[in-house]
Amino acid sequence: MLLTLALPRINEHMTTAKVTKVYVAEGDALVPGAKLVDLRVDLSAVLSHDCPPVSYYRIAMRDVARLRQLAIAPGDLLAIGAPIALFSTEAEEPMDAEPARPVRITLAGIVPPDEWWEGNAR
Amino acid sequence: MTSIPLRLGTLGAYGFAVQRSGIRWLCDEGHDCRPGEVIAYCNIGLVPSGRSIRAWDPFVDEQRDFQVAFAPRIAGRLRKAADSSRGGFLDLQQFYQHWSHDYIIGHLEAPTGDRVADDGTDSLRLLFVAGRRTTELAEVRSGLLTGWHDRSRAWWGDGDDAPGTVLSMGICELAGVIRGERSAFLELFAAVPGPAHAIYNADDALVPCARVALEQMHRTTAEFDAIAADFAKTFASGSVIPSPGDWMFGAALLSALRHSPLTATHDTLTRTGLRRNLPVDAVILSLHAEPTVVLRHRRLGYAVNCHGFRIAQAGPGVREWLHTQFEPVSRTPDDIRCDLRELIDTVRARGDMRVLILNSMSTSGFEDVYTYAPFDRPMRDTLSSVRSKEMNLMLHDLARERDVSIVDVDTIAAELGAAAHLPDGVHASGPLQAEVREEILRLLAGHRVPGFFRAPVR
Repeated sequence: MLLTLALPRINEHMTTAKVTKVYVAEGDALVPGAKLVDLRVDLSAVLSHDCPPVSYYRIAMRDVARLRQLAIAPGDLLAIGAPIALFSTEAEEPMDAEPARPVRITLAGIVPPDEWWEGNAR
Repeated sequence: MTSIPLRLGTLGAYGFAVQRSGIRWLCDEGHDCRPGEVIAYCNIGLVPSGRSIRAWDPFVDEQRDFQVAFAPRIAGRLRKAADSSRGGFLDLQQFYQHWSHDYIIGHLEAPTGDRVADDGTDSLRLLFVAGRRTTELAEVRSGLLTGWHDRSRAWWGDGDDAPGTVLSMGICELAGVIRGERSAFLELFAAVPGPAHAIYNADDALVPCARVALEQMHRTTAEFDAIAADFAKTFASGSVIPSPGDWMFGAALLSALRHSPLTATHDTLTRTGLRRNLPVDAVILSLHAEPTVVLRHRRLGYAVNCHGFRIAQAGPGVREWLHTQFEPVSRTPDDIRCDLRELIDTVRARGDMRVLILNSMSTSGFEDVYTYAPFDRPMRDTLSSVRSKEMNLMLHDLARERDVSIVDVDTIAAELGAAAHLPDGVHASGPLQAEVREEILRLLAGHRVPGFFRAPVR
């Protein structure tokens, strides 16, 4: 069974999210609790003000599955619904079938890094 | 119907004459005024009258942004005096007219028998506002309490009693609560009986976490001079030539390091005269001003705490200066608790001061944490909600040991709905700000801070 992961709408005002970290590689066997990706959501484009509404999130697995295709890399800017990854429940499962459903994930807000100190400021 | 004159009434201070600008109206002719509604304002200034030897300069840092707003005591339909507003610079600067107690700015058409005297001597309440400019370049005379101020304040000008003073030292979550949506304390002062005095300490350059506030209290003139000398020597000595924005941020930071909001005393002017050296009766702090990391100067040892977005916007010069001259120091909730405890003990050693602290919003509408396995330990360094909950628990312990009042923003946000009232995930809606303001006023009233509670009628 193939499982998909696309960028969810985390906030009603968001249009995109930036990939800040990727914790997995194609071929990894993943279990519930495995970290997948960290995202930065900046609402400045739609809610512009001095104190920027920037939040950070982590997506983690809630299914047992093998990562078969990874469509993202750190720094990528994703639109809502953009494909992030494709999983299969069996290791050698053919990739030409229709995905059965979205993979089950956990989504949580994470403590923001000090972007400017780390040299990643806008 | 009676036509009630809106007379300026008495305002003066021994040794000074009061001067004013023309009246600037905040509502239209024929507006139906509510009791206590601010309808107009003017700039004012104190000029030595020569009757006495001046021993002090009142409002020395606020002379250019010192205004008084007018609020009728009763309801009625407004009729403006034709000569009240003179236009142009005559309405912007405070030096063109003397304050005359019998000058009538307009009339209210009100039902016969309303309680103010028919001659209007008691028809207007005065709400004073004053801003200390971050730099004198920041001249913005577009409205009531407009401009770039590192400190702003307001007080009712009635009564003989000394006003209670409340100081706000938070970040953006307190700006709307204290300064209000119209940014001149109007919502706050509409809700307090007075005489009350509120101060808003800006966080533009220096964010007032406990460590920073504590060092501001202890810093001597010689220590500040050393900081200023080091700044002058090092700020432009790196590989980056500072931009104008860099210089402005650096100067604003330096200016903020010079002030100590918690030890400052304040002048007020009321209908009965000048009052000086008012101490702070209550301070409002916020856990949102307490970062996981502060910057410590490598040589002089002082701490700074700045919003990352301000540093990012300031320019490359500021970033290089901070990178080369400072080192990051991580802070656990226990470290923050120690700083807050020391700050509270220090302010209370100087006099009785109530301490209110806003807790942290720990709920959100989107989280569905099923297992904590994806989050590194200590979990407070990874998960925002866990950090907020740990900080709130820390505050709970501190409140019990140091008699601190918790402003329970966490519960208020949860009850109203965080998803609906924090639409960008960070900043509060108007209703949420109003609820937090009401909770703060309830706590201040419970502490019987003068002016912030209504004494029972005997």
